Amino acid sequence: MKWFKNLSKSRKQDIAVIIMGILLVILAKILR
Amino acid sequence: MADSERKGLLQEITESIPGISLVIVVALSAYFIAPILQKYPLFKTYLELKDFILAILFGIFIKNTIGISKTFAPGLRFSTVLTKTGIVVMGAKYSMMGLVKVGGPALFYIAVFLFGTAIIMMWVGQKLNVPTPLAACLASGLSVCGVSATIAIAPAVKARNRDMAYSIAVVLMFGLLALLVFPPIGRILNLSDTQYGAFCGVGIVNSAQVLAAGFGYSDGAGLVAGIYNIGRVIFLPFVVLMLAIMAASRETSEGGQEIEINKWKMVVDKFPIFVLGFLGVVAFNTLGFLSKEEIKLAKTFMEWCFLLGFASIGLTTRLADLKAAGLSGFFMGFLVAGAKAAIALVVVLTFLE
Repeated sequence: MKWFKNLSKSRKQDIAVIIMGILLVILAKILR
Repeated sequence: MADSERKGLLQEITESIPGISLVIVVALSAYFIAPILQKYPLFKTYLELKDFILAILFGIFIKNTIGISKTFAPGLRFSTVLTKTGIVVMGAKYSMMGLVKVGGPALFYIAVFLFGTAIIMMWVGQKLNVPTPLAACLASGLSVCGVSATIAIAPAVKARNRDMAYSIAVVLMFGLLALLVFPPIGRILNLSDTQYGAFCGVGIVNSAQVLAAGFGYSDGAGLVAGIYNIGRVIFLPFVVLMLAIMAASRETSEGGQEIEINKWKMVVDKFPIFVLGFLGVVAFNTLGFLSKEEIKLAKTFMEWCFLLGFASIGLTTRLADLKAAGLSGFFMGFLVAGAKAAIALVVVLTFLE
């Protein structure tokens, strides 16, 4: 996890955004 | 995880609850009031205020009239995260073929307008004697994408916080005006979804406002505006690099300190990697992993991400920031943004169907 800690704030935010977005698409798949 | 870090995270979540609750209340108000307004001829015919636009307006109204206490501030920081998450989910609405079809011409128009606006802004800034850091912030904000582009260029041109706040305010104010003016223009000129989406994608620069204006017109226009928006965001590192080089050479020629720029590092650091998430979801959909019902539900998630993000943007927009700097910056910003929007309208009417 050291590489993640070294990332800039905006990079961490972008990674969180990608994960949340994909999770929402998976959620849409599960709920339908 | 260390105990102190865990406590910090828990405290951060607790502190964010009031702000997040306020964002939800504003978003819900916009969601329920928008259909009621549509029953009145004024809003049905002339001033079409969809929930996305209302969420921003309600937020701005609350922030600049009643005011928002500091208790709410920690929960109002998620506008960018919510809007970007919505953009990733929006990928479920596109196929690779559709993306290439709209995205091809979009990239061309965006590149011309982006670099053109940035260069013209720097030139007008010099003519109006606007300080280089403020001119570069405005050029970046008004050509690429309001808030993030201004923040991206600021360290490279040694801009002050006031320059950044002012530039962001000009971008958001112009976008706010566009939110109210663009839909009636679209209706009067009978623009197609493709034309209107491209008009918004080029004429407005803040991601939230581009999407609000696009989806406020129609779903089709919103999706086209979304592609233009992503194209614009992809160009961010390159425009920032160009502006940093222009600002550095202007400073040096005026006898200022020489600024060193690591070009490759700047492009890599500023590249918006969340776009890869959007492309991943588009690929997922193109390969047939999503049914029609699943796409419909994903669209609902996308709309709520946007609605919450837009409410949050409104709740953090300070009209008073416009007073922070002289009139020349304001005049320059609105002049160039207005001219760009007018040219964009002529271009979409001439070259798009």
